[in-house]
Amino acid sequence: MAFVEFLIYGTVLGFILSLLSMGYSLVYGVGGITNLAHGAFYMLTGYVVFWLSNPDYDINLPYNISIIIGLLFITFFGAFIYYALIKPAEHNEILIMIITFALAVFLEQFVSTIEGLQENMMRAIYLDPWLSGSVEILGITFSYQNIVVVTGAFLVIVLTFLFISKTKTGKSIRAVSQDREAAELMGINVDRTLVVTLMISALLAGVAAVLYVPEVDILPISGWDFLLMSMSVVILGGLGSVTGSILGAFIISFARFFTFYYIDTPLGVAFYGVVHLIVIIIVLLIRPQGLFGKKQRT
Amino acid sequence: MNEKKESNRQDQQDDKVQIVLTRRPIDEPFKIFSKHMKKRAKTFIEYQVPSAQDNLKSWITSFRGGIGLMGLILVTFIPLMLNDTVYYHTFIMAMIYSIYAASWDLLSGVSGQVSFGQAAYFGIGGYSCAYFIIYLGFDWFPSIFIGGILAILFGLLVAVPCLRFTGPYLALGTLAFSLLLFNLFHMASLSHIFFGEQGIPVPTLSIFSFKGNIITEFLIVLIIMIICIVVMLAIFNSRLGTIFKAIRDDETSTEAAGINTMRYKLYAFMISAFFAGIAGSFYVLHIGKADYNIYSSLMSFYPIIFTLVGGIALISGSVFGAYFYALTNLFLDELFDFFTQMGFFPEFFNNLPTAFISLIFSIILLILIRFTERGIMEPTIKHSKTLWDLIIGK
Repeated sequence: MAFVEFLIYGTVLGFILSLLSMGYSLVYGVGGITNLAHGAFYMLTGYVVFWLSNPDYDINLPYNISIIIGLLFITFFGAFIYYALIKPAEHNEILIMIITFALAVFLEQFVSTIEGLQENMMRAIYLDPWLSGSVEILGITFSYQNIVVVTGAFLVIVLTFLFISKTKTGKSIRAVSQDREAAELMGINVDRTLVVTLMISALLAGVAAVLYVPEVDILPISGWDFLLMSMSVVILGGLGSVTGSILGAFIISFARFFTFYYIDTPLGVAFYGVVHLIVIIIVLLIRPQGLFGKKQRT
Repeated sequence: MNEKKESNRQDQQDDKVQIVLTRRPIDEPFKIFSKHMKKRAKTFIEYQVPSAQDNLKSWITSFRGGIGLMGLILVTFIPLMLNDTVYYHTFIMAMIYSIYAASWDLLSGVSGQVSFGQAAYFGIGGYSCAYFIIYLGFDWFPSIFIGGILAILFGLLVAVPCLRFTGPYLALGTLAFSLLLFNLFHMASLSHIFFGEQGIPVPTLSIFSFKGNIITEFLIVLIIMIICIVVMLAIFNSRLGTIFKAIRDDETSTEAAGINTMRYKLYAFMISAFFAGIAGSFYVLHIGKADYNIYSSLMSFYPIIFTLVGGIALISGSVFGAYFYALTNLFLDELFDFFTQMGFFPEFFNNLPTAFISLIFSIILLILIRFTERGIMEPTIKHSKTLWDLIIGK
């Protein structure tokens, strides 16, 4: 029984992490931007959809509309952040890390404040699943939300791949990630490409939130957990490699649940939250470029 | 022929220039040494390296020194004069944070090894100090140093894997270590080793031997802070500091000059961890508890913010930034209390406290980072100097 749960939860989280880490790795591969606010984007989308749809707050839009508005919001928020914070600090990688870190702290405080205004305590918020109920196949219970997550994530991943390989903007993204100056010389507007990349990254984080929050409640600090998981996936898979991100996502996800279910129970329950951190340290020690890392950004 | 040779030798001798460095005070002439030297050289330049007293004198009489001294006096006497616990608390926290921020600056601003996990050494120092006081019955003074020393060991532990890379990978590695500690010390199931949720409670004021009131604590922390900052400034200005700055600016050239950069980078980590550990010990003694939150990413972030606000790669900048934070916090607190008393804010604003202040502060910091290049301390000093020159009529 534990094995089935392990498989289900592992697969679901694997898809979510692949969405998140695809976004993170895209932004790093294209612009050299280490976006430490990536987890905060995830958390922010979840909260925005919650605020829009939950009857406790007075806005109370229908659930589907709030999801669409939430995704649009996070996409344009990503663009806004690029122009306001990231672009002025261009080429200074460490400063960008610090600025995005500051942004992530700010978003966490912001969400805590608004939640604190509504009620006096911090509670984990939840979103209703798209389709409630479950289905039984071969004696195993899958909730509909699990299937929604897997299908939705798979669709989005395929769409992203198609976007990057077929469309003109997608080709500019690949060009800029290979050689920024040459792309500029070829007439590609690098600035616009970076904005689009950041918007895609934010959108992917938003979709991940919309899909996963119904399964696992979130708190303002959850953003950090997902940021670290994305970072560990990207480091394991190799910065700049999308295939590596997806493979790494599933490895980390299954490692996490494996530790939870199968390692000696007290230690396992203890360590499942730090597996990805240990993976980061081990990968950095043994093979810093990750599994499929193609280039080191100097 | 012979004459020519003679004149050649004479020319060579005449062209010798001898430069002598000496540590004697500037007005005491050489007697024996210079006579011998003057025989062999035609041009003789005697350059006196300024002694420590000369350095101190020139610093104090300069504008920066005046401001620094005034700042020191203000920082010491304002809380003593105001004599309210709130101010003592604020200034003590400011001093603890300034040691902490200066330690980060020494590692990242001066040596160029940007670390996002400074809270690791801060927390290890705090936990060790608390452990030695509570469980092993040490006195507070040695425990603080033990905290610093154990932090050094942990600094080495982090440095050895992380120093294989530079830039973002190094920063991420240090961040991973500090968050690993956060999770380890947080887990309830590992409480028998790592103290779990409630951490180690520490008796606060009574632990400082005599009387044990907050003024004593304030003075002790003040003295230790001055010693730590002076030591860090001495490192900054010494040959060791020059090597650190060289590693930051151009590591390849430094290697080419024959300096073992790996060794010096390890030194940087060790020294920085030591001071962060000392700051952590005082933090735990002040707060009264060593709990897992000390390893949080927010705590790692504080020294970065303080240093960036004040001015990176100057030790004094981080001190300025730490005080800026503590005083702004105090100011915002008082402002909100004032407004609530006046009834300007509706009732539910009472529940806001810290989250809202942190929010406002993070906005201030985002703006400061975005719009100031090197922090606000340097431009402030420069503008004050211009103003001062204007006033005294230069």
